[in-house]
Amino acid sequence: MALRGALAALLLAGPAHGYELQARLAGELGPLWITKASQVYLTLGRMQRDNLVTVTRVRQATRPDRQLLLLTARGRKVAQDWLERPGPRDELVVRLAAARIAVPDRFAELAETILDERTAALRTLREMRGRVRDGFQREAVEAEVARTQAEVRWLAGIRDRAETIVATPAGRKAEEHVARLA
Amino acid sequence: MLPDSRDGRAPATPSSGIRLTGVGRVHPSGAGEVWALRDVSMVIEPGESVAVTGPSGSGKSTLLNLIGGLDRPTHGEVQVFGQPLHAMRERALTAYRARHVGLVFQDPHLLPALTALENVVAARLPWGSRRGLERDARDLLAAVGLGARLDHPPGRLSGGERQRVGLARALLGRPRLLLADEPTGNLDAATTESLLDLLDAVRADFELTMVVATHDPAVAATAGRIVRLVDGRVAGDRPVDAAPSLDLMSLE
Repeated sequence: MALRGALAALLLAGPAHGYELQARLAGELGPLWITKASQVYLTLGRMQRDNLVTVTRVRQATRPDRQLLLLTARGRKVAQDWLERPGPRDELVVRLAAARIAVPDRFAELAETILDERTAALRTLREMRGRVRDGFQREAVEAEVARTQAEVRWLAGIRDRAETIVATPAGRKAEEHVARLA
Repeated sequence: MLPDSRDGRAPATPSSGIRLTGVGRVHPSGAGEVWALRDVSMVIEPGESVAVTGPSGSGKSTLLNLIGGLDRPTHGEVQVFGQPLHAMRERALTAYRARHVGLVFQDPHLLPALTALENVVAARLPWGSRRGLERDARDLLAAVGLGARLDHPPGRLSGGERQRVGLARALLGRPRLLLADEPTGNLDAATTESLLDLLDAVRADFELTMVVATHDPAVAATAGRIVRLVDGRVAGDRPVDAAPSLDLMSLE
């Protein structure tokens, strides 16, 4: 769902072509995130089927027609929900990357909200750690405590630097990244 | 009910927490002045656990010092347990600290020639009999998990154990307020976690109001509320809720 949410969120900023969305995501997320063009187009197709986007053909003189994607009211709601509602922690980075482009004026607030979510999770995990004893359970919970601590520290840094982060120009796909995506 | 009613202190009233109103602290600096704190207003209820966070130089320690009666504001009012600290003389502030405030620092500064037990007792000898203080100190050292280390000098204790001695020392006067300034600053990750667990347990058992200054948002997460300072001003004041649910992992 991260890709669907991210594509919808990017379209909050205005209509775009599929390849632009893919390049924008790759440019923001960099070498650790694989954003395959085939997966992007597959997801956009499903979003069209589910009435989240509509497609307008744009004629080109020398090349095949291109498809300009436009968010529907329903798609707008999906985008906003995905950005605002607590989601899987693996999606944190993608949510913030998309928010920076799609809703820059709300970025700091969103970072603060996500920080609150993960701070609450850390508190609950620590309480859980105090209750488990058997076998390896305590260590297994500790692994999550440690990961969540790292997230909370990362998110606090993002919140503190939100103004600078929002002012940073959009990223570009690195060449080796493009090669790997091919 | 707070312990006040048992030992003859005034019972808890709405004014018995911590109340800062328009608090500022200015230090003269060359021709000008530096605001360590500026226009800080907040209320901390009895029994609350609050983390004060922010980068170095944001005013965390200054705020703790004002609440602890170690420093006085240049602007505004600091009321703690109904006492107007901003208007009190040094002698009254000393009595306030001795009676109500326990302090924990990044480094407990234990005296190397004394045992753990003697370190807990030493600073309070002017306020009580040695025998009574030692009895209390034994209980407190047991409460922080050092019942078997009473006779160890600091040199034979680990960093985490020395910090626990510092905590027992802070609790000896049975304060209502525990102030901790970067209490985990010198500790490794695992020792930090166990000290944080201990602080939380102690806060509940001793019915303390607790204010912890820390630059680390992961340490701040153990409090019930996080106040964030930036350049001496309150930039955020948010509760820490329990998570409605956790991400569960499934084996596939």
